[in-house]
Amino acid sequence: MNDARQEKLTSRLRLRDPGAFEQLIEEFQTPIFNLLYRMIGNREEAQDLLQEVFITVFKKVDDFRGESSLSTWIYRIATNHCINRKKYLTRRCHYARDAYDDSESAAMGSAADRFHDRIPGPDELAEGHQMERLIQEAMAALDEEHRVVVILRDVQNLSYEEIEEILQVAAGTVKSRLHRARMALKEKLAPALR
Amino acid sequence: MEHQEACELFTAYADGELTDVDQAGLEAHLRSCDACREEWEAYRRTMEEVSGLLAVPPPPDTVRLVEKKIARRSRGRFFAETRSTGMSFAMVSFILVLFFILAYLLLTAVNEIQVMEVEPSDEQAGTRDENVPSR
Ligand SMILES: [Zn+2]
Repeated sequence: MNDARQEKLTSRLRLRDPGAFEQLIEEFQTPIFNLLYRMIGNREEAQDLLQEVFITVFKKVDDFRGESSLSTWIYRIATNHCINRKKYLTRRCHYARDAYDDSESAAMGSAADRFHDRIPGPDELAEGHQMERLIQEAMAALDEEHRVVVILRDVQNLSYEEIEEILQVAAGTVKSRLHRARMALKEKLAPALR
Repeated sequence: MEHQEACELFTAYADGELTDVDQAGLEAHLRSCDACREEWEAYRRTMEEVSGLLAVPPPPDTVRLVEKKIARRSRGRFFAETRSTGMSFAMVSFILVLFFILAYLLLTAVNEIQVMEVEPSDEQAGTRDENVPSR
């Protein structure tokens, strides 16, 4: 979607035009859902977050001053939602773990490990797609700040400039995080790639 | 060039952002070092695999679900679930007001007609009596 179309859509959204809202969702649901799904690793959570992202857009569109493009702004909302949800899930796992005795919690591993275990592996697709499952697992093992960069750059094919704006970090930071992320993924995937 | 140094250049190399000197240095190292060449190959393949991930289709009725949530949270101010219900309250009020106005106007008009009918009654009574036998 080019800049002019995005601006037009933004003005219609400000008028709470239901048609514009529908168009917004049609336009952005695939990339945003994929970002959320790759970040969170769970389809249901990603679906729920997807709705929350669009609700936030609807609520905050009056605050959107157009310093960045509409799509960058939506991506930023989505990454913020991801970070918050991830914190919430980790906290919830943490509380849940407190309920178990030591041996059981040791057997279950850390909250983060368990979060990673839930990655889509189970999810339908994964069965026949060994590599996809491996990649998703390898991504889940990355720090969030590395994972988001590799998803935005390599999966979503966004430019460095867009990623800088979405994450509001310097160009050098994006590049060094991307490098770390790719190197870490390479280590995990290397046995399967040989 | 050390192995470590070579690996650090992979991302810039993949992006075509190395200076000519660095690129020549890295390529020379890759030609002569099996370990780094293998690393580069794995790096390249990793990028390829990650970029090749297929898009997962989003759930089918996001528009409806989002509108429903907004309707609930805005108490029907936006995307009221049955949009006509939100409208009908205003419509019903409007129709009621219109009804009362019309009723008032109608009653006033009926009164005026009655008054008009009463006033010329003597003349009309005469003509009517004359007409009756002629039928
Ligand atoms: Zn080497």
